[in-house]
Amino acid sequence: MRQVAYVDLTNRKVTIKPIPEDLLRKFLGGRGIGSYLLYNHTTKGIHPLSPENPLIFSPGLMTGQFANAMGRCHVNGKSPDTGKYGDSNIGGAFGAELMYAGLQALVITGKAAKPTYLFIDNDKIQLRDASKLWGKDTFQTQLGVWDELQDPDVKVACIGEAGEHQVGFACILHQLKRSAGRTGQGALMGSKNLKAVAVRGSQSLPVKDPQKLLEITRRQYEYIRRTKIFEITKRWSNLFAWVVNNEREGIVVRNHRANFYPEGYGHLDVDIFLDKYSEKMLACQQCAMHCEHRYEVKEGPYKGLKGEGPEWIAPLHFGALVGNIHWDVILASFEKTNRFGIDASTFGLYLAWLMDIYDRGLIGKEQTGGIDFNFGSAEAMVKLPELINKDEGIGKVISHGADEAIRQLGDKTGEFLYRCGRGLTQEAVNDRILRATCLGDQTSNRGNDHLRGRCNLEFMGLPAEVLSKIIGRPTNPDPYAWDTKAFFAMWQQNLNTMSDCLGLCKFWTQWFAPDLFGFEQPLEVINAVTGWNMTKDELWEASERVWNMEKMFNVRDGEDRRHDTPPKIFFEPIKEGARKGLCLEPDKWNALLDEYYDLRGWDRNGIPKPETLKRLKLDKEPSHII
Amino acid sequence: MTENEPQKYARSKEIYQRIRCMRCTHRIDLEKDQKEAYCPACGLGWVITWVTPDIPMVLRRIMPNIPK
Ligand code: SF4
Ligand SMILES: [Zn+2]
Repeated sequence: MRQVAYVDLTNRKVTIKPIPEDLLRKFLGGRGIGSYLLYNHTTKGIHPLSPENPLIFSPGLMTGQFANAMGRCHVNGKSPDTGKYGDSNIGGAFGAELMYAGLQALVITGKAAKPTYLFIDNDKIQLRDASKLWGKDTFQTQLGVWDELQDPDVKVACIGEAGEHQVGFACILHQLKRSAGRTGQGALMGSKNLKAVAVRGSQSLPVKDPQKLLEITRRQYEYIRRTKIFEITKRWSNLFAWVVNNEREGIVVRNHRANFYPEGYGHLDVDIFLDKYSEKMLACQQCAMHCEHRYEVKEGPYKGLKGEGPEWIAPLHFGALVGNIHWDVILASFEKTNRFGIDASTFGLYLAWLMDIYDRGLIGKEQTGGIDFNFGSAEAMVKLPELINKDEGIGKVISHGADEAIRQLGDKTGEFLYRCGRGLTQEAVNDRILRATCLGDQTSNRGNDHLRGRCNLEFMGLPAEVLSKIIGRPTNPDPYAWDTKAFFAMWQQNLNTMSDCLGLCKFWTQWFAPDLFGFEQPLEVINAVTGWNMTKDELWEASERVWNMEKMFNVRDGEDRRHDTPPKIFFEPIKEGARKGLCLEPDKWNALLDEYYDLRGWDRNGIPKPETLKRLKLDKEPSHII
Repeated sequence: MTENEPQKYARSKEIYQRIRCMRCTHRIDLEKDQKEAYCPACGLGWVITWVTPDIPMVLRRIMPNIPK
């Protein structure tokens, strides 16, 4: 039977309990069981950095199984960044190792009296002294744990100094770049004096029908490896998304000064990265797509720098967004954020904001400590991670909440820090021009989120009958049309929720490309492993349930329709380029939101109706079953 | 995994020697190793690289005066 371990750091107490199978069938694993545990182990209004806020690791239901791309782990905790529902998903091999140690979930509460790390050695869980690791970066920490345990096969998830200082956008890092990035779970970990979680697992995972699982896995692999997207991703990673989004004028340049970045031509082209920096490709556990670059900088001021990544977010958030055109500066800054345990994505957004208000004369060198913060400044890009890491100077100013940063730098500066209704910094995508995508992103429970609600199929120019077949309803493929987009957004959110619950990488699903996995293919895997004979409708409903569980967390704290509002700038027309004049029109946006709420079974204020909660069997929550 | 219609579509029409115009999503057929192509629908030109001998990718658009 699958288990959950509770670790109370204050009282140094460990309890392990079985998870009833019917609960797993309702919530699946990963993000599902994580959101259940978060809701059940918190109360209304709990402070994100209080010892009572749990930090929850939960591998997907299928993580670690002999199945394609089932290797991911979820992290849940009320967000220190936004004060709302928080979570993040992490690749690599950490989740599978937790499963091999017998744990479907790990719930950490309390606060250790001194720096501590957890060592999970199959069914033994030890709290160990981390005094020697405190103050170390994430790479040194992983090496330190291996050294102490004399085992480099132990899988470690840890924080850097940023997490120790409870920087609002500190991440939890595993390997060289696999991270639980957004929503500040690293700060939550740091607030518990918890430096790392190390896992060694050697148990096998039960499978109901191993022969069938083998057959499914082989068949699905043979299919996927012949797709075009597989060939592209295994060579380029998702850097193609950088090209696609730039060329369709769908990115944010220099903090919303433009939406297309030709200045990067001849500098930030993908082939330049591949030729000059990429050394080889790496993969997460259970994945044949191996989308991650190992890179090395061979000349110039950053010569000798090695790291992993970058994904499309690097040329976007460290390039166009901040007006930089140099790959080596991107890599130098990106590597520091990983090393220090700072969420790279949020970092880029704050950096762009500082450059913008510097450019407008709202701050100067007195505030930046003499550092040049003009757009494109390499000095700012490589020094800011260090200041955040040390919690000093301008780094400290931006590290403890957006409101606090605005308070210190002046109200006027707040006009240029773009945040969604849930208070999360707005990703550098120009969502105002895509209807389903904007709706899907902006209604995401952790805040605007391409990994929850972005509808990539919306701007691929697919024939209507093809798109409709995928979504399961007539769907208008015109990205600028408003009709049919509410269901499209909900479908995407449910598909992505399912992926996060199972431990499936979204790069293998129809989030990424039209000919990849929908609901049916993971369902085959679930049934071979569990023997549940689950139907597609049941899997869809489980995803819906999880979405509503997260929503209930936010609603309990007073969330409503206002929190589904995009940043103000999305309602302003685009000033130039091929999409000139496009924006969100408030009446159309509100009608779309109404339609979405109706589909979700929520009232016009965005609150789940009692009958919806009953239908999804959420009406008894918190049920405190585990 | 049996191929349903969307998958058949993607395979039959997308996989070989074809790119999507990044501006208007029109499909553009290419000769092997072609390095540039113009969209017949919107006129925009694209610089192309080949990920495999059969799979072209857009690198960027053709732009005579690249801003500095
Ligand atoms: S596609 Fe990339 S991110 Fe996804 S599981 Fe494979 S290696 Fe990891
Ligand atoms: Zn075109």
